Amino acid sequence: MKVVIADDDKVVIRLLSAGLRRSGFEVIPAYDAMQAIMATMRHLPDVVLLDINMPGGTGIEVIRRIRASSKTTLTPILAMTATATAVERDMALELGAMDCLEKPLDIEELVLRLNAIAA
Amino acid sequence: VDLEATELETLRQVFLDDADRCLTVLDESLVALERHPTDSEMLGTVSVSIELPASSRACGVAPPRSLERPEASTEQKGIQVLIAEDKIAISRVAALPDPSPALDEEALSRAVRGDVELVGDLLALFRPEAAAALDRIEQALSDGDPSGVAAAAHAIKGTLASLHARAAAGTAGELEEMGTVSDLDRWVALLARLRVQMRQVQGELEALIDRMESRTEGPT
Repeated sequence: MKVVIADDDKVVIRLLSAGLRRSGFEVIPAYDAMQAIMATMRHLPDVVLLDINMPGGTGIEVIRRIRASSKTTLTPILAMTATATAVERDMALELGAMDCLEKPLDIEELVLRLNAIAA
Repeated sequence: VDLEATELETLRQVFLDDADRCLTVLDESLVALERHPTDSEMLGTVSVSIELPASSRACGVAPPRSLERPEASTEQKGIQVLIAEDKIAISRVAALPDPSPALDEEALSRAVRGDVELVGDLLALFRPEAAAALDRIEQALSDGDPSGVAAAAHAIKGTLASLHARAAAGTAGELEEMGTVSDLDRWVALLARLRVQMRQVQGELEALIDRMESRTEGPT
């Protein structure tokens, strides 16, 4: 199962990548909005794990772009943020994210969640 | 002493400001002490900071037992956090036990599953991110740019939360939510607290790596 992890925070990407790779996932890291869009278009992942609070609010723009492409319009997106305000959560869900998860993410719960999406 | 609520709040704020100023001086002194361990002036500054718990009792805002067992009640939380941090900072010189670890080591260990190389990578990534975040916050404060402070604080809050450094993430969250720069002293105090906490996070990550490595190597 392929997962794009998009976050400008290298610590988060390193931690989540290690946890997911241990559980057998293929991980494609993306460190900014442009990389996230490119990685999603190129690799057509099973899930995109996306920080919606990247600088400039670009996580929301990433969701829009992914949804706008016919190749990725159905790609499941899990949003994540250090603090999910009601506005951010609503915006992410409105644009098509499956959920908005609050950091720190529990790896075991995340693995269960991703496996459920893949099933 | 019977005090009106407003007087108590003023007194509490005075203590908080004093404590933050003291911690800033203490933090700088510790760096200097590490370089010049016999500097009597620096030792004098550290000893002033050791008086903090006594000054809190004089203010009547933190009962003595709270020094040993900080509780998370809302009205005393800020004071207790400061006192705990003061003890943490002092412990680096006086070898007192740390009253409150900066990392939830159990949660972090669960996340890394004993992978010492991964913790090493996290530390290597955290160091420059922490320094850059502090610089960005400081610069934004100097520029009177609250949105710049909020953005930098938010970014490092995510990093700290992911490392399970809850207290430091909380301080970053307070900085993020300050909103305006009208209370500059409070901003500066929070930044000073965050600096101390991030240094402790770094120290505990280093210690965790040492322990993991020694467990891997086993008895010699």
